[in-house]
Amino acid sequence: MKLVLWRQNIADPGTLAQLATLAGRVEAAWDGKDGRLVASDITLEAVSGRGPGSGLAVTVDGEAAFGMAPGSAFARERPEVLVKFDSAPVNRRLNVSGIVRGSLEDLRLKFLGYWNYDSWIEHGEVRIFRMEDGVQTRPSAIVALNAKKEGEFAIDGELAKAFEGNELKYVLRVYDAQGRFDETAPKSLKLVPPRRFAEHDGDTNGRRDVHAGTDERALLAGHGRSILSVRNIKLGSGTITVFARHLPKDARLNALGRSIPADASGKAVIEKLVNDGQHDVDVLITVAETARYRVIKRGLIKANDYFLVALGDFTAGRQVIRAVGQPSQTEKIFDARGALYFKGKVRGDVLITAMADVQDGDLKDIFGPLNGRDPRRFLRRLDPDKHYPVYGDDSTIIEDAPTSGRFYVKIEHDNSYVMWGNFRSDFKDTEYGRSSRALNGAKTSIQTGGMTIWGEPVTKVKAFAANPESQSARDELRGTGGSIYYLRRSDLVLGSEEVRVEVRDRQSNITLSSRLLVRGEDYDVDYLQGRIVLNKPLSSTADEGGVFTTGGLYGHPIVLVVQYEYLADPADKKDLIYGARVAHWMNDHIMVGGTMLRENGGRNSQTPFELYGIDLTMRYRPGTFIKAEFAQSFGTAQSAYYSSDGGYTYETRQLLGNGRTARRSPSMPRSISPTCRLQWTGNSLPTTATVSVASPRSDTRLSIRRCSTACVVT
Amino acid sequence: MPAGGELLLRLKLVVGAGLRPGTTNLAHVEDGTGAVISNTARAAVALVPDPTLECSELISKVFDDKNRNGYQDAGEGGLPGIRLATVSGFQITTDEHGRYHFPCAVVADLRRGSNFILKLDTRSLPAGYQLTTENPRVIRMRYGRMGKINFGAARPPLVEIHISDVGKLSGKSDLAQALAAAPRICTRATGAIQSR
Repeated sequence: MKLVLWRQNIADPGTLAQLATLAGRVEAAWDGKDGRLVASDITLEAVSGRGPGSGLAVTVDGEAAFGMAPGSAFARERPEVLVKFDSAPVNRRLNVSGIVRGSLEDLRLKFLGYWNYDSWIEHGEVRIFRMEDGVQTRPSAIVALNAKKEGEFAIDGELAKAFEGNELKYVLRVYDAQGRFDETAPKSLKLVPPRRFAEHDGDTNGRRDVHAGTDERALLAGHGRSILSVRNIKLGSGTITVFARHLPKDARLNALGRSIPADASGKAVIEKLVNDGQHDVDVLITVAETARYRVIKRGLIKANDYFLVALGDFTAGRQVIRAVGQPSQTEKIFDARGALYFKGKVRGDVLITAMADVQDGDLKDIFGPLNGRDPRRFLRRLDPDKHYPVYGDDSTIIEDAPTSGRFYVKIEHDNSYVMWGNFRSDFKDTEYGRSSRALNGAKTSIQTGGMTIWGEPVTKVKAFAANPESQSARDELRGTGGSIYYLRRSDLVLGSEEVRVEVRDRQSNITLSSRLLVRGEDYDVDYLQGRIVLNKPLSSTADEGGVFTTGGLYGHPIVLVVQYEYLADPADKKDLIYGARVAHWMNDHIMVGGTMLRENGGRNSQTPFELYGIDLTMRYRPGTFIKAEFAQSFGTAQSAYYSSDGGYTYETRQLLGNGRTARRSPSMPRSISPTCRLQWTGNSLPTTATVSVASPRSDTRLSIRRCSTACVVT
Repeated sequence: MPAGGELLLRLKLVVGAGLRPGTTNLAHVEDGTGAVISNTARAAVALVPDPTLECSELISKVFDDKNRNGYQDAGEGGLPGIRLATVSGFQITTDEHGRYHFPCAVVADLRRGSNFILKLDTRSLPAGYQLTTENPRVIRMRYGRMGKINFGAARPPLVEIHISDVGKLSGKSDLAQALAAAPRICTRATGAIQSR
């Protein structure tokens, strides 16, 4: 029910007070009579203009009920405002996209951030790093985003030199009022000015505009998707959405602390994440600074709430096929399926997600090996944009309970959770104890003890135990002079590949230089067939720098190194993989951590792989820290395969045998023997260095690489 | 082969075209009389469905059912931002015009189809709106065919009390008098609210 007040000047502060008083009386009158209406059913509305009658009039669905001529109707020419009080738990989304603009001399970077929890964010910034730096170090540059979530940054010559290979990476970091931050995963950008079609084919008729359009589209690529990587900000538990339509021209919608103009079709939407409790939403529609229409709507965001959908399905039957001259065939049919999806919220901040899907055939091995992949789950690897069916709508789909088994359970509180389902192991804080595997099993991640002054949780505990959903593999392909390379395995996990070109020393096979390639720009990959197509041919040798060359194949060999995950045959799978990591800040400056990883050998693999590591970080301020890390591994992690003919044939190369020491390079994760590493990064020193020291037993290697040439005295 | 001995036979499965999803190949050894004298070897064939030919898609709409008849009639637009969920944990959110799709919702049984359930999360409806169609909804999906599940929702009958001049009203008594004068319509309206 609505209580509508018609006034010439609705901005008059007394207007809504009068209305509220009347609403109180009406409410009482109704409650006393039959108790059917409750307060939340009454919406207060103030409209500038003349009402249907003089004094008091009642309409039901616009038709006269009282105070107007019987049978007459009252046309609603007012805007329509729909307010949504959604108690469902919120999926936070954070993303950023960047493009390069300008010319070679005057390069400008443009960034556009995206997030859906505005009311929690004080400010956002894009942090720019060199490709080889970690995102924990001091960024090369910081670009603040404005209120429109845009940021622009001009790269001068000095800075451009710092980005080796003309590449950089960037993350978006957003802060709340308490200084806690959320951060995206890094994205990379090549410092190449945008191409002009005019230079290519001279056809400028209309095509330049198309190109300008793709610029804007590239910036909007992150809209609606999330690449959230670090989450520290604590969010509210529900969403309020205000949707207005039939707005007059040039109208603005003001609600929930924001003001936006109506689009061409007279629509506007404002969304806000809120805490649980009762909320009065005050919506004001203005045209040219004049208040025209106002609605106050009261609603409740529940602290305890749930959503459940379940299906029990049972089919039994008998099918008889009779054909002339043949014995009749009888077949019994029996089908059963039980499935449910549950999403609940307890006390506003504990979230429970559960999914189960069991078919009759599953009952014998309900908790058995989880390697039965469900063909219906193919959707997960299907990019709907790449396949033929075009649906022509902008609806979004989120897989809230990803699992390749039959169950999914996740219990979350703040930033800690316990779960069973599909996940990534996601150990990325240290250099040696890294693990980023797609797994199906149990995982827990607990953050406690408050925050350090740098906005990081004091204690972090992560542990997982799982059956690997996929296997990792590493193929090395000698450059053939061509651009098509076949990987050893097909059926790759989407986005799991890391492709780099390495130049190896002709004598010792030590990696001399290495460059990470970017999908889309440098290569394309066919995930189903396991094929890499480079945009430029890769020659087999690099110039050695010598004065004399002896023959055509003289020089350092060039190798294409591809590290990827593939969906393995169940028989090839390793039994169990588990790991744990604990990191604790003793105070705001000293952190100690420990990592353990273990993979049991599967049927086809030989020995289990184990890794133990400890690490110590001393931080003076963000960007200035000393990191010491010690790690030891046992057993075989994986084999590398080498091909000299573009992937038609492969030979095995063991990365690490028992008791043998192998060289550690950044592209060879987890293949290390007793190794320690000391990293010093400072911003008050002229140069900084990372020193990696392998064990002094056999293939000792000491590599010193300069991390930064910029001298920043603060 | 010695008497009472064991013989291990390895069989290779060659998969041809024309296979249907869910095929399992079974093999056993028989003696001359047709009696089974071995265990049964099983080889399941996982067939990846083709998104265009074998999957059953779902394309539909959530609409503002103004006349509350459960069907989308002329002039009844879509409801944006409405959330639907499947039992497999997928959350679908409708677009600006209330449209949605769910690609490869199910690979239905070839001979008799499969059931598919979809539930609209009523918390995502605008305040005051109630469903006019069945929720949750189960439909039978046919192999490779498209399915449709439309949801309609409408606000209850809208009772509006228009006040043109607050000054002219003598407060509660006038308002109460006005409402008392239209009890039949108001009761009808509230009854409609109550019955939904």
